[in-house]
Amino acid sequence: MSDRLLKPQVSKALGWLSLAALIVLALFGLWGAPPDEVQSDAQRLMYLHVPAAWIAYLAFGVTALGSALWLWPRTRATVWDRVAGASAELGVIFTALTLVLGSLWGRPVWGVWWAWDARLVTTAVLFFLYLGYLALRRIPASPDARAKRCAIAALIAFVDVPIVHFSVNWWRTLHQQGTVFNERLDAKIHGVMAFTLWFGVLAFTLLYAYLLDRRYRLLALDEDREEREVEQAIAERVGAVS
Amino acid sequence: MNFAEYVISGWVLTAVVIGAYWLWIVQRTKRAERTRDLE
Repeated sequence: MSDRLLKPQVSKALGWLSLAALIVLALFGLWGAPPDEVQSDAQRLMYLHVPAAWIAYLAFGVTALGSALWLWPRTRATVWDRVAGASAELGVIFTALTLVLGSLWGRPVWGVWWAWDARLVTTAVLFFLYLGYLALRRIPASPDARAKRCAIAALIAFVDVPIVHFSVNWWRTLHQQGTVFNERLDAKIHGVMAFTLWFGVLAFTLLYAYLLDRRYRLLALDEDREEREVEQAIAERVGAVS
Repeated sequence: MNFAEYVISGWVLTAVVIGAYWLWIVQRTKRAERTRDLE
């Protein structure tokens, strides 16, 4: 069983590529792109807020896919449980970033740090759902029992992802509707601003792929150590009895 | 830049969070590999 998702050279190259893309994103996001006509420079937070939200969706989608593949008897393999666990952790971090960046953006634009808005509340629920999922992964159990209950929990939690996405269409509250993926699929962003937004999505996707690979490797090493410790404890017990 | 305190805070916070998480993974991976090699 492989303890890596990517070859070390590929992982390293992906890491450097992500870093370069993030630097370019910062240059465009802070200087290259013009300020918004209405929101002025506060809108520069969009180049982080939207890609972070996209990565949260992607990460929880990968967690749901990994969980489904683990639950399906024909595809059941440890790799899917590890992918699900590693991706969920990234999803939680990027959801937290989405919430905090949204709050920092909301203060100058809306005048408040937080509002009981449908998008904000469903995103906060998403954050706590997957925080619970990560807590569930830490409860001691046999690898199969843990993987099974976590896979079921991940699939249930994923129901909130489309609710978060469509919340701005279903309930008309404070949060704006989608800039790109709105009801009419009519992008309301153009030129350098659109380029910077799409580049941010690309940079964050590269970063996600790199961090997923690194986190997967660490999970594999931790599980390997746990297995060795259990084997050692059993050997010691058997030795003491005989 | 208008609203600089919000914009800069957001960008710096993102960099710090991602950087800290990456460092945490790298350090724990190195420690785990060292422990495995010693056994």
